[in-house]
Amino acid sequence: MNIIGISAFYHESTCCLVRDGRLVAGAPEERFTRVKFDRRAPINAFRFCLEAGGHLSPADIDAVAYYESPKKKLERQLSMGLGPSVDPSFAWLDTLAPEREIREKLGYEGPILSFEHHQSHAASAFYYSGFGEAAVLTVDGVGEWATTTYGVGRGAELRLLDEVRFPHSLGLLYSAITDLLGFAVLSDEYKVMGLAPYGKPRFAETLRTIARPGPRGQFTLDMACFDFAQPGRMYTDTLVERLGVAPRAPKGELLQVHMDLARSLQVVLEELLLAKTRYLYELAPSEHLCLAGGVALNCVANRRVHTEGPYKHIFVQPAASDSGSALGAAALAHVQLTGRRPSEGRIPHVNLGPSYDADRIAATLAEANIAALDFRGREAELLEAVVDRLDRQQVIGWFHGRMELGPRALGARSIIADPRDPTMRDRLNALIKKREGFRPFAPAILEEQAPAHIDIHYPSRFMTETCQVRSPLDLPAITHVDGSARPQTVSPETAPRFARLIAAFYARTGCPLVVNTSFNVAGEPIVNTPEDAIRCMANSQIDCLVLEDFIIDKPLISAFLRRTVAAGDRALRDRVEAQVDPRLSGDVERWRPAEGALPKGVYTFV
Amino acid sequence: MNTKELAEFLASEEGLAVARALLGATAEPAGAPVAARPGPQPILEWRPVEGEDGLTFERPDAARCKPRRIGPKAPGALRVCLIGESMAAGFPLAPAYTPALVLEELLRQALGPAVEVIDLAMPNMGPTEQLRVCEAARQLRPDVFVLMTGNNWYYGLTIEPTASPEARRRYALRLAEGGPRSLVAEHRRQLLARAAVMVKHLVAAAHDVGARAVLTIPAVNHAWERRSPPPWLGGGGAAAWSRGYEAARRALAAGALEEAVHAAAQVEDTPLTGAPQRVRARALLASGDPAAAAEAAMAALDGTNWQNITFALPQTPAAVAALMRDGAEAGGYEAVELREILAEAIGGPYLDGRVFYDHCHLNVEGVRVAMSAVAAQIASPRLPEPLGWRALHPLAPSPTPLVAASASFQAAHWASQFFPALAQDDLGALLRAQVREALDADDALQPVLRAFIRLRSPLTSPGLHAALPQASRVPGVSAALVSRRLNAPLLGAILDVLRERGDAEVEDDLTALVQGYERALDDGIDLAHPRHQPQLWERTPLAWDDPNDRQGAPFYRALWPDSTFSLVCGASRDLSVALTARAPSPGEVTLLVNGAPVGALALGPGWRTWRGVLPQGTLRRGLNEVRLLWPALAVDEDEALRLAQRRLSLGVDADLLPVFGEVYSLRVTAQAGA
Repeated sequence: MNIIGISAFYHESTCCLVRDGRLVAGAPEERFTRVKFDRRAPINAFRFCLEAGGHLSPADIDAVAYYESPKKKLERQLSMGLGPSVDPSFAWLDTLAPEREIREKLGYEGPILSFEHHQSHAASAFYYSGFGEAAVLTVDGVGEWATTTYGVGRGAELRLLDEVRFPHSLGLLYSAITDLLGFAVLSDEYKVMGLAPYGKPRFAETLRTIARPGPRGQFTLDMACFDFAQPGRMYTDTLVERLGVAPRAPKGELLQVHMDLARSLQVVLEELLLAKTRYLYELAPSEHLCLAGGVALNCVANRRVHTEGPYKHIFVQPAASDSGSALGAAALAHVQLTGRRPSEGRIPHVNLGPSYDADRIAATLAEANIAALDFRGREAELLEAVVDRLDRQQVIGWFHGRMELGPRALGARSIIADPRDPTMRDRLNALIKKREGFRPFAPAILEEQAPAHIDIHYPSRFMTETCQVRSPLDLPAITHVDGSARPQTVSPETAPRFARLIAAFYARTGCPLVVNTSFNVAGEPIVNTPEDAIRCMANSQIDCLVLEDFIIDKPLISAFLRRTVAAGDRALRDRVEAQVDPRLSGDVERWRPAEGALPKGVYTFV
Repeated sequence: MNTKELAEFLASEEGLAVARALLGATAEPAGAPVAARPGPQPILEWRPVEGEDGLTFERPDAARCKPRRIGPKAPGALRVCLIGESMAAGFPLAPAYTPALVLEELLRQALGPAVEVIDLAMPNMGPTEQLRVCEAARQLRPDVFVLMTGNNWYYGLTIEPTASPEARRRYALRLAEGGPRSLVAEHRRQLLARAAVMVKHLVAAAHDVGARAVLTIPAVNHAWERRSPPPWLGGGGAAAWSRGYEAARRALAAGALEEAVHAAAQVEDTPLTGAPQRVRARALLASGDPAAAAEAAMAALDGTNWQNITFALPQTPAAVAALMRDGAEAGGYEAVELREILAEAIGGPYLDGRVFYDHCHLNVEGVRVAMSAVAAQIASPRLPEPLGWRALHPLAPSPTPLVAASASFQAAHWASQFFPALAQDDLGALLRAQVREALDADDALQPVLRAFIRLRSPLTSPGLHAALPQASRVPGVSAALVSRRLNAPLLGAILDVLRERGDAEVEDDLTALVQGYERALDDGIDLAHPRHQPQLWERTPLAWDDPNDRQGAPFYRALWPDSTFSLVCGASRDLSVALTARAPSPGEVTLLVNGAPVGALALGPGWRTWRGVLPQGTLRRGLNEVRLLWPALAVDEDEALRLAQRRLSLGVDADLLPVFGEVYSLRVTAQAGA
């Protein structure tokens, strides 16, 4: 039985394929279109899933599982009083659009099963956790009405027992403060989390009066401080007044007050999340907790839940935000259609995307006239050569196997570096990732060596929790200002080549970990294809690219290629800018882009 | 009704239709153009700077045709501002050679050196922007405004099915009132109203600073063929249209010119698609009546641009040209009608490739003639004797051979990129002519053409390909070179022309391309991917989504009874093929390779997959044509029209054109049984 799971049309559209209960493929649309957080119909991701399933046609799909209920969502939107200022075309009124797009853009003709937003989140955590039974907590901005749900799973059964409803939302609270701090909503919340350790929680008391815990897992936001229906701003002047913090302009200077507010928010979030887990434990006592929803990407909070909450073992869905809901919806459909649980074991890895074989890469390199070192059939030598470069403090673009699903690069599309280099963090932020200097980097550490270096004694393969660094080594590149890190423990079973690489680095240097950050630059989705990787390398200060069995050192990429790539990217940017040029939209009176569409609208030829 | 009940209601088609109708009733009317802020205004990319020289304008960088700084007008100098769209901007000759540069040179020849022509033309400039630029240009205190505009005035008319939900709803209302023909009529009404407003305001801006307004009325390439299918007409009208059109085309192909003229006239078309008029125009031309052919070609324009799909093209219909011409006296402006001047120049009324690159863009000779006429118009009142355009024409400068060669190649790419199935019956002949023209102008284009072949590789994007660097040094050719499309029509034309010129090395390039395809065939190639579709724009709405991407064209839809796809291979082995397709009505689709039938699939409304073999014997080394013949349409047109109208009333886009079949994938692979 082939089931396609889809989350789409709001944020980071994603498709996955569950075949006979096994998750065999999954990818977000952005990786194909190269439009960050692409929300359009996941046309390319759908086709990829069908190809990965063995050249399937749409007729081979037994059901499409959609991750939320448009009708119930409309109820909430109507109650919010969304007006023309939010969307002059009132496109959100069209609850038939998701089904229509699935049929008309993906070409799918069979049954479509819709599940509620938080049910999909819950399923994405429980059914892939490997727990036979577990309590399930989902927390995000908002789905239909729910912002938090409390559930329990046992075998194939998953029940939601209670919920917190809109507008009282931890996710929206976090987003609103993210907004006030001048970062992008639905994108940069993790930056606020990274900023928090630099601050003091001096606004926590005020925030506790704005987000108040209530009985039975409830909590309330003081809605005088928020307006979720106004365009472009989630908070009101009252919030500004209560906090006494002026809104920071995007890309404005980061002051101590901003760091303090970030820290305060993080503290309050963690308190509320802990209170929720305790309430859930009353409802669903268990040793196991499953977490999903956008807030479950807050790995600092996850750590507190794990160490201070009532549950012994937790599983956080690696793609905890809406992207992962596609997995949950597909699992729910499988249960509905077969009565059986989709998978018994824990999801071993999230390498569910495309891969590219070495011979084909060789042909591309030849056509591009890129001189590369060819290590086909000589993996040990390849790894030694990579270690040579890491040891020389080079930054490596590491491209191997199937692309990861979810926001984290876990050794398939990663940028890796030596964590011992005291200059590495600043270098990576400034020259490679082209992002804010305060942001930390994560380590990928050999699983069996982890306890000697970090205070985590169980596998944490998806970077879903932070911990303290306890290493005898000095690891400035991966140690945050508060001594924490967000590790990926690397097992030879699930990431064999990546594990062998780190082992080789360990053997050479005595350091069993590397810096591991996603293979992209700011504003760009993680690379998907070898060409994306070459382009990213040419556009940044990455010293060396490892494309499967090939090593490309930066000097081997010609200056012309670097210029060409830069020019190509400039042309792309120009084109995108031209498309949203207000002159053009102003030209077309009353013209609006088709709903659901990202930059488009030049209704013209030359 | 509480929100739950309201949501329940709105989640139905009926509810959505009611909501759309209510929103439409309360929608605010279109606003007037935003009033300019007080103080100096920017003019396109030029920002105002107030300094010791007074008010000047500066842009971040200089271009060949546009100075970095526009200073105050020199005493006694003649300052001309040229405002317009891509034709006025000199596409595809710009920036090295533009109408503004030619005009300046000609005016200097006629009037002396104290002449300055400021190029304010810009490709893609729509009506509102034209008004803004014209108003802002008053700050330059020009003596003459040359308004070389009109082709883009159809931008943003509210009669569009692919715009906002509200626009679609209005479209549905009009459709319900009188069918597709009433949409054409409404489009025409709105366009003429727009043209009247444009002329009035553009001229007023010129007069406001005491400048002369010279309106240059664009001409149309009569030979630029379009082939648009009919929309659903109801009552079997579309089927009758297709039969009549095919009869006219058959007659033309058979050389029965009179019969073709008659058959084309019998098609119930005007004004609808213009396609039968095109057949009529060609038949009349072949009969030796170029004047009647030109009129027929112009009549075809009346049936275009109303659907806002791929067939929309910037051109100025005859009615708009007449409005511009006839209003001159009352409006106090001067009109230069390019159609007449260009006809004079080529010695006949049927305008074609002698003065045009494509549908509206003038070639070198076209620019030289047009700007001679404009210069004569401007200069004459300042001279003792009026000048004719012929007097100035020999003085008009020409571009360098490389610029001319590059422009011809760009024109070929432009034609192949956008209008393969729609434009010419024999696109190959047109493209070969343009490629020859490019090489004739400057053989420096040869390496560009050879690079184009290698850059079609399925393995490497052109931006990374080693063949790009040297070739892209020729100005203007990058867009063609870096396109990811296979572009079989242009590729075929280039191969043909290089071979006919005895370029032995072209076989090396073809071999490299074939090797890349053979490698890709090991994994499989989907010929229905936009990159491999020759008829790319056949079904892409006229939004600027990447046409090489599935987001721009989720799957292939056939608007004509047959579809062609392109395959490059070495013809050294059998290939497996898997076709997944569907059709609105039951029937059989036949698959042919290079004209030889290789299989058939019984189709119906749901996707079905046929797996077969493309035998080695049917394949050729290099380009191959894979063709699908679709079953005849057996669809209730009235019902189809009703459904389209219903969707539009919900604010949803809709197909008004019959679709013979759709292809989800056409996967060819070297693997047996794939």
